[in-house]
Amino acid sequence: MTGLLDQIIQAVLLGGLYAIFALGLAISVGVLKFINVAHGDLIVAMSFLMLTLTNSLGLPVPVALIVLIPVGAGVGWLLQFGLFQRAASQNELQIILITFGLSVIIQNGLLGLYGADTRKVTAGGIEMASINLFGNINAGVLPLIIFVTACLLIVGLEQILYRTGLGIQIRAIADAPAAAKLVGLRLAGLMAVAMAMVGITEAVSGGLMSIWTNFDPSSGSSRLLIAFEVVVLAGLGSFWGVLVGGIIIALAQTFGGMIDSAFQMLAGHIVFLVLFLFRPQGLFPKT
Amino acid sequence: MSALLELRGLNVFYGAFHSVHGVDISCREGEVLSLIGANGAGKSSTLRAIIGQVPRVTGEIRFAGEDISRRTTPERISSGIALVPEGRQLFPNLTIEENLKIGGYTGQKGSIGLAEVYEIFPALSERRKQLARLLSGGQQQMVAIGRALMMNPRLLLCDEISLGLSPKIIAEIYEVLPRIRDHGVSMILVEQDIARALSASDHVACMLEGRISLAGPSSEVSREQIAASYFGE
Amino acid sequence: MTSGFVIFGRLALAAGLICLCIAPFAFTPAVLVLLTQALSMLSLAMLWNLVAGYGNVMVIGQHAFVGIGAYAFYGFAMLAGLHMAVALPAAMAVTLAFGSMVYAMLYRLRTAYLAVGSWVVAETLMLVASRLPGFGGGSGASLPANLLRTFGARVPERLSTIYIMVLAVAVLTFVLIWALMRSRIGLGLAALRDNEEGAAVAGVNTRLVRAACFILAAPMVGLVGVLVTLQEGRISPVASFSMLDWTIYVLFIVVIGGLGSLEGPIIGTLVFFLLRELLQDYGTLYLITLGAISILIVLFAPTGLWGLARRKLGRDLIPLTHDPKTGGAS
Repeated sequence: MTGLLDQIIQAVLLGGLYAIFALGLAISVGVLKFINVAHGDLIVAMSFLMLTLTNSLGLPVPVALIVLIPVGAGVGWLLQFGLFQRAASQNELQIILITFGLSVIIQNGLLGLYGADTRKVTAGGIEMASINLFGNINAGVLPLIIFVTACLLIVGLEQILYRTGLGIQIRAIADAPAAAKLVGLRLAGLMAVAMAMVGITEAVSGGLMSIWTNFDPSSGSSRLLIAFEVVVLAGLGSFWGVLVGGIIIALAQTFGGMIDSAFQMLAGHIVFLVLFLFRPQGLFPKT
Repeated sequence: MSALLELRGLNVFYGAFHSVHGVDISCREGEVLSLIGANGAGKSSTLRAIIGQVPRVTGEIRFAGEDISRRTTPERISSGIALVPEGRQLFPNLTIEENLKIGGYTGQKGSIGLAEVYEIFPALSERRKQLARLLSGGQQQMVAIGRALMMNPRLLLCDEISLGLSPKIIAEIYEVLPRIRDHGVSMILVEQDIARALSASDHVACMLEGRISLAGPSSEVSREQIAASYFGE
Repeated sequence: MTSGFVIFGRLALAAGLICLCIAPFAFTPAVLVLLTQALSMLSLAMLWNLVAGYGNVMVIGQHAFVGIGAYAFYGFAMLAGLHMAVALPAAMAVTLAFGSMVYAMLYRLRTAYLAVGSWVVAETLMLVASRLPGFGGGSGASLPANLLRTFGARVPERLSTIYIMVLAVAVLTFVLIWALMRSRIGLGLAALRDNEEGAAVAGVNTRLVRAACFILAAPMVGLVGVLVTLQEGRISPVASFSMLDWTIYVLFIVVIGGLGSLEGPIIGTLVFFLLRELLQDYGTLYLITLGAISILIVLFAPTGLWGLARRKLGRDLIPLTHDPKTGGAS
């Protein structure tokens, strides 16, 4: 019984990481109206950058994480302004093809730079530490930090989007792009800012992922698929829905893994497909 | 008094379609000009050309003495032109207050703020947190006008603000126009309701098949003249 | 007037086809292997172009149907012990069934969701395939020598037989798409490609036309999957369901050649194999180049190389319409 409860707690915490993967994708689907196929690869690129910052440059892990954030924002801004924006007048299909090409470039670029080996960032013991929650249930300190980070990111994003002028403008262009043009909103600039926010979530997820799990240059695809499943499951109504979606996928994977380790990924996909068949609009759709 | 807005030889093209042919219009500071004409006469295209939302124009668009025909829509708005678009074009999933604030972000700073808009349209102040798509047509039109006012324009372009509304609501909205004028705002009203347009404006211009067919002070043009220029008889 | 370039282009196509027909007698086995690969890719490219270019259904999970075709064939031929002539159509029927199911599940999704959704489905099927009892699990299974021997007693003969089958499938695919495009469905597709809303207003049943493209392509992709299995002599989840080989390369071929045209996949395949011969020693650089070229083409020449050439020629090499202005066929 304790074992089961323990597994559930681990899964919920893992759901926090999956939610961070998915937050950026939710913004790009909701605001920019396209799916960046390279989203997972950008996350993995951030993990590799984290590796370079800590291993080669010797920065402490928290400092490296902070360095990563402006880098992520800058990459997002540049990609939107320099690449996706140029295709924005073309159709959705063409943006997907562009992000597809980008994904292949990033994966092979990482392969060329770092080789195919599986990597992990060591954070001086914090990844091994755990604290006692209650009874004899323990939780890892790092997963707890990641879960809390996910919650903070959600609160932060909601504050920005609902409480600031910038956020209202971003929601306006997401809501009615044609109207936004007529009232003089600067769409290209606002979309680049939205993509910079996506870039920040990529930096945070890539940075935290690099300490918690193994990664290699081809890990991006599975991260994208998880993020996609979480976003579709959640619907586009609320960022808290994304956290719930992340926890569902993580729970499915954990229970699948308890049957047989090979079922882990499969169980996640199957639970997603089944839930999707019965509720294609997601659990928390826009009302 | 010099013209606040002056169009000289304005042509508007949608691809191969030539919608407005060499139109000259001027609107003075503090003036209300109504632009009337049948469907497809080119009234809305003229307004969209002024705000910079048509694919291609030729000719001059002078605002406050400067040619703005090469400027982007945001630049035109921040120099003091605001549009109340046809069909209202609100942000349906934003609240009334957020819709109004959008105008504040894109326009100039000035004497009109949320408080002034709520004073002009008290019905909105009771529903600040309501989503725009849940409002009635009349209330949506008020939000659209309020959003444009938040830009603190010197020139307000109103595209068919009475379209699809009941006579009672139209009367309510037209009652408000003099109060907007008191804030020193000039207006161009595109209207199909000729009587309304004449009573609310100083000058009237009638369009027919993309050209100006009649122009003059509202008090001097006769019903017969308007009928003739409206239908091209 | 048909210009000199168009005549030259058509002659080149005809000469190419003749070369392909006499290849088993004219070329070394190494060249034959390369041509077999190229023709397999060409078939996949034409089929993906049918779905994405003509049907406007952006799938990036086409590799699923290659894998299903391969596994179904192995199941029928090896596990059920059926004769080739039965196992092959049976494998196509299985991919047809899967194609219909996948489409029924995904068709409501908007473009971007459908793209990644089809990828999730492909990933799921790949994982399922690796767990299927009797199919060799994660490492896959080899086709036994006696089955391969039905295609020829010795390796060169086998290569020729498989080559002829692959060539036949490529020609069949081409003719099917050509005929489809000249039919009423094709008219609907042309309207769809030009303007989706316009086509819907003009009375084209866009839903049916898109569904037809997707579902018809599935068994043909499955057939290519069977032929790929015969070339490799084995099935495995990683190779049979390879996203890189059966979707990413295919997508690059079509994008570079020209999305939404019959000539595009042919030109794309030529360019792709040319680049591969030139750059394959440079490893990752090869894929980075392909990715960069395809991004540049999408940005600056969305109709691909054939779109650029067609602007110069003013007409298609392979005529589709009966319209006398554009050089009606036959």
